Amino acid sequence: MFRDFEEFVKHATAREVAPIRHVYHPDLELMLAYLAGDLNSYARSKLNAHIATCSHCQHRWKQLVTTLNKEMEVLRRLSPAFALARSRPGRVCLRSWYENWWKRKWETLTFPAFRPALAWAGAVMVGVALGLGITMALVLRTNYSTANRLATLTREIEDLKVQLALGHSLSTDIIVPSLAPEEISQLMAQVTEFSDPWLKALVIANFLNLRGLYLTWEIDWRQLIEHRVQPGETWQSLAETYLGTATLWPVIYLLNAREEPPDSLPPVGEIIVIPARK
Amino acid sequence: MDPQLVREDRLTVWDRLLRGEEIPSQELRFLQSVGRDIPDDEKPGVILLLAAVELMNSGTAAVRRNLTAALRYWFSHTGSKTDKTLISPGRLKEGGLMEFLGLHLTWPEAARTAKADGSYAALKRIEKKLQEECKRQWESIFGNPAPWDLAGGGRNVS
Repeated sequence: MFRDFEEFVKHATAREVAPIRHVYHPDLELMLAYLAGDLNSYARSKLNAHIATCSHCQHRWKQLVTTLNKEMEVLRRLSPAFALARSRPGRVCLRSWYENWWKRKWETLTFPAFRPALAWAGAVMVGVALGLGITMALVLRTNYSTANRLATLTREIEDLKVQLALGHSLSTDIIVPSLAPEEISQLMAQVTEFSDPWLKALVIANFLNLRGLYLTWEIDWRQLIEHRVQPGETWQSLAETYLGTATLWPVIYLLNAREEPPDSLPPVGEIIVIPARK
Repeated sequence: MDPQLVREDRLTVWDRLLRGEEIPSQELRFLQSVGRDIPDDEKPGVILLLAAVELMNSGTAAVRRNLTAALRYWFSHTGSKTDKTLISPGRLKEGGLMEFLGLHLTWPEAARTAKADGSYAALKRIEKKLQEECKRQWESIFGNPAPWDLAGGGRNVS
């Protein structure tokens, strides 16, 4: 007697799966065939029904599944065999082969306990090799740049020696900017003592010569050109126009300045003298 | 005929039902032929199986899904499973007795394994259909009212 249909169902299902004392048991091959999916629907259900009601086979089944799971785990850890199908036709995937070769070597090490030590040793060796490589690259680079600079300096010195030996003046780009403001002021004081432009030019040339600066090669002090200063003109622009470079502006300034500071503009409308360029 | 062997045969059918398979009626003739010789405590199982097979063969696709889920639900509450790690969720969709016994699924979980309606109303509906079929089968084979009808005042599925 059942109180309701639910109780009826509970009783029926519980009774259906109650253990049975079986006389015959399925063999291992049948169980393996089940796991491999080789059994048809009826055979599979028959085996299921047996195992569900047989504690002996439940134990065997559990052992079998556990063992297979362990085997699968081991297989997963091992590297897969080299598959020709995965490589392109006519080409052997060397990288895959190389990786598998290393994996196999690693897995088949005689003493697995040494693996961490080997891994550390390998990492240290790689680190040392990298450090040495970087250091050598830096040292060689420094040596190379130093040698280059020395060679350049040597060449420049040789050029200067040749120029001096030939009596040429040094490049004006180097000479004029090397004069300090104090020296220009000192020269200005000397130049203002003379009113004759030619004498002024002589004093300037002498002043520069005393400092080893030979401008006579580029400037003809004997020919002084007269120029009326136009609005907007500067000492630099006049030097660029007449002497070819703005860096020679102190020469024009010294020849013509009276009281004006070096940073002043030339007096507009007045006539100034400028040495001619050879 | 050994009742235990008959029960093992029934369990084979149960396993196929749990997998959602349809069972040809001819395969169950061995049960109908046993008839009144079935022991009393085996009768509920026989009737429930015959009713489930009938519903599985005649019901719509939704009924079949709900029936599969309901059977999985009920059978999961029988037996016990000591090592649940052996069951993978993927196997439950096509699982049989071994997979479901002792799992103690909730109805929504059982419904999900069979892609059935997970609402409890769906469970009640399939219960009602099964109850009607069980009643018909019981009266047809044993010739007396179904046992839950005899309880008098007992709660039936409605």
